[in-house]
Amino acid sequence: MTVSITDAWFTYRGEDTAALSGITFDVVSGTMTAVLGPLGSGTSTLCRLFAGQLVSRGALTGTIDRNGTVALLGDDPEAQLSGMTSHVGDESQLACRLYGHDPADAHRRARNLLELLGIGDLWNRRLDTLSGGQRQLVAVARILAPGPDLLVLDQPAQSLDPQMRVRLVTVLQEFCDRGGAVLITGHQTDELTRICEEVRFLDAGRLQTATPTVRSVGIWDSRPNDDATLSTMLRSQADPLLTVRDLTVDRGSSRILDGLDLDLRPGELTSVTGANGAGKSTLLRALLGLLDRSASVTGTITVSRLGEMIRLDTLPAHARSAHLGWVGQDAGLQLSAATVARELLHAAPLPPHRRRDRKRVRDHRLAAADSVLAEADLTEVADDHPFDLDVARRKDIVIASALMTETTVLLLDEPTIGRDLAAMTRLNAIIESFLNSGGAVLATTHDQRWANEFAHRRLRLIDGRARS
Amino acid sequence: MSHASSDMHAAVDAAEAHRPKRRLHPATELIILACSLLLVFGIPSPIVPVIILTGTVVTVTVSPAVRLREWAMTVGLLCLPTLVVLIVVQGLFYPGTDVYVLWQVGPARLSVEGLSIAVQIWLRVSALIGLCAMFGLGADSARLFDGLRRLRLPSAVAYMCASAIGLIPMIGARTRHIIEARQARGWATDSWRVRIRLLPGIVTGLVTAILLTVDQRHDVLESSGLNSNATATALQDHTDGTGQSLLRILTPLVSIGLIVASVTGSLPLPGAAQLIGGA
Repeated sequence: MTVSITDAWFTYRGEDTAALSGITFDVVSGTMTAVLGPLGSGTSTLCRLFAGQLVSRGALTGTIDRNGTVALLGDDPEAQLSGMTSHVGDESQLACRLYGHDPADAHRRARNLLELLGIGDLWNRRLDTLSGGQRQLVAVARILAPGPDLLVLDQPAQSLDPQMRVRLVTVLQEFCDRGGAVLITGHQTDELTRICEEVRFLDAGRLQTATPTVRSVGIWDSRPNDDATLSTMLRSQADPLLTVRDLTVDRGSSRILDGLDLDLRPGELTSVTGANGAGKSTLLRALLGLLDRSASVTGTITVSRLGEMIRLDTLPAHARSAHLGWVGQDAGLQLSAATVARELLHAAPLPPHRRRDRKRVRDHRLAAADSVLAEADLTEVADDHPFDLDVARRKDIVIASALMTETTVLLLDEPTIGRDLAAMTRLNAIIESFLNSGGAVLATTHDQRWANEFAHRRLRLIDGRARS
Repeated sequence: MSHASSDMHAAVDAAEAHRPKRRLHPATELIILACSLLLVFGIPSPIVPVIILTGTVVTVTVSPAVRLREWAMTVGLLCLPTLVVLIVVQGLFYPGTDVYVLWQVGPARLSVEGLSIAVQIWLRVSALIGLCAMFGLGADSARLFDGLRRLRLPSAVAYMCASAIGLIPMIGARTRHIIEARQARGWATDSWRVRIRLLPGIVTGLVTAILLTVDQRHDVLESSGLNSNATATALQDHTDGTGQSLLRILTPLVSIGLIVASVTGSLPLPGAAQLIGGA
C-alpha cells in the first residue's frame, strides 16, 4: 500500500467550512484511481493532501500514512514549470537531480520519458517556445523521471491532444506495471480516467459512497461522441464576417501555417482542433497581429462591418481589436485588476469624448460592465480578486472583457480547459448569446466532444493547413 | 530502435552539439564577476572600467550564450539615461569653486573636475551593468544555483538568490503579456503616453503575478524534491577541472594585489581628470 488516509478533515486558514470532510482513502501500488468532482468540490485540495502540501495552509486532522515518495502535478497550466531552467532537457532532469540521481542517470531517465511521451525532439527547445500541451508533458516527465511511488495528477489531460493522451495513458500504465500508483483528479472524464481501475466521486469535500452517474455529480464527459454530426446543425448561408486567405506564418526556417483559408459566418461557432504545437494558438494570435517580430506573417484578413470590407492585416493589433476579441490560452496572463468588476471597467479605453460628457460616458461603461457581468454569470463574484477564482472562471472574465469591446468575432484559445459540467453550460450560454446577436466564434480545443456537439464548422490543423 | 527514433536522436544530438561546451563553470564566472567589480570600484582610474567593458563586449560578441542585441539593448536602456543625468548634475553643475572651466553659459559651466567625476561614475556604473547583464542574460536560475552551491553557500541561500534572478525574465515576460492583453482590447500601447496611463494597472497586476508565481514555483520545486534530504547533484552539466579551481583561487588574489598596488602607488594609472587633460 502506498498511501493510506483515514478520516481526514481539512479546513483552510480563515475559512469556516471544511474543504475535505471525513476522507478515508487507500491508494494501492500498481493501480490507477480517479477522483472526479465539480469545481469547488475539493479535488485539488485532495491532491495536496496526498502530496503532504496542506500542513502549512490550515487545520488538518486524521491519519495519513505515506510509504514512499509522492509527486504532484498541479492543475494550473500556468504554474507547472519550475522557473529554474530555460530548456526542456534541463527541466525534465530537474527532479532527478534534486533527488540526488547521478547526472548520467538523470539524463537517461529524462530522455527516455520524453521519447515515450513523443516529445524527444524538444530536448533542446527553450521552454518559453512550447505550446500549453507540450509544457504539460514536460512537467509530467520531470515529476515521473525520479520514479516516485505515487503520482498525483490534477487534470493531467486538459491541454493534451487525443494522441498525446493515448501516449500518456501508455506511460502511466507502464509506470503502474512497475509497481507505481497513480491518482488522477479532475472535473472531466477523458481517455485517462477511462482506464482507471476505480473512479470515485467527490462532492463538497466528501467522497461519495454510492456510485452516481457522471452528469448527476456535475462532471463534463469529454470523450468523443461520434453520434453528433454536423448535419444536425443549422449552417449559416450569410456572407462571412471574417475572411482569411492564404495566411502563412513562418518562424525562422519552419512554416507554422501554410496558406490557410478561413471564413467565419455570423451565428456560427467554428472549432479548430489539431495536435499539440500544430499552430492553433499561433493562428489566433496571427489574426490579431500579436505575433512577435521573429514570425513572418503573410496573407489577407478581412472583416465585414455594416457592409464595408475592412482589411485587418494592414492594421496594428489595437486597431484590429475593434473587430476581433481575443481570449488567450492562459487567462491569468490577461488579468491585472484587483476585482472582476474593475477588470471589465478598465478592459478597453473609453470612446473619444468631451470632458463635459465624461460622467455620461463612464455611467454608460458601468452599465455595460454590469450587463456583461450578468451575461457571463459573474455578478456574484464581481468584487472578488480574479486570482481567487478557479481557472474556468478566470477564462470567463477574459471572455467578458472581450465582450466589453463590442467585437463581432470572438477568438477563443482552449476555452474548455478545466471546466466541469456547470462551467461548460456557462461557456455554451455565453457563446450562444454572442452568436444569437450576430457574432461569430473561432475556438481552438482538444475537446472533441464539445467540438462535435456544439461547433457548426470543424477545422483540423494538419501541417499548417486547415482540413474540414 | 526504429529508424525514425535513431534519426531523431541524431537530430537531437546534433542540436546539442550547438550548445556551448567550453563554457566556464558558473562558480568561476561568479568569481570573475565579483573580482571584476572589485577592480572597477577599487582602482580609481577610468582605464579599468574601460578594459572591463571592452572585455565584456568581446565576450558577448563571441559567446553563443548571450545575444549581443539583447545585451546592448539592456545596457543602453540603463546606461544612457545615467550618462545624461551625470553630465547634467556633475558635468554642468559641479559645486566646487577651484575648477578649470571648459565652457560656460548662464549658471551652467562645464568643468574638467565635474566632467571627470561624471565620466568616472558613468564608466563604473556601465561596467557594473554590462557585467551583470552579461551574466544575468546568459544564465538561468539553475546555473546560478549550481554556481553558488559550488562556492559552498547553503542550499537555502543559493535557492533564494537563484529564485531572485529567475524573477527578472519572469517580470519581463509578464509585462509583455499584460501590455499584449491591453493591446488586444484596443489600447494603443505603442504610445508611451498610453503606457504611462496604464502603468498603475500594469504594476498592480505585476506585483500580484510575482507573488503568486513565487508561491507556485516553490510548490512545484517542493514536489520535485527541493526539500528532500538527498544530496542534490548539480542541476545542469558544467565543465570544471583543476585549471578552473586554480583560476577561482588566483583571480581574487591577483585582484586584491592590483588594488593594493594601486593604493600604495606601485600601479600608477592615470585618473579621469588627467586623461581629460585640464588638471
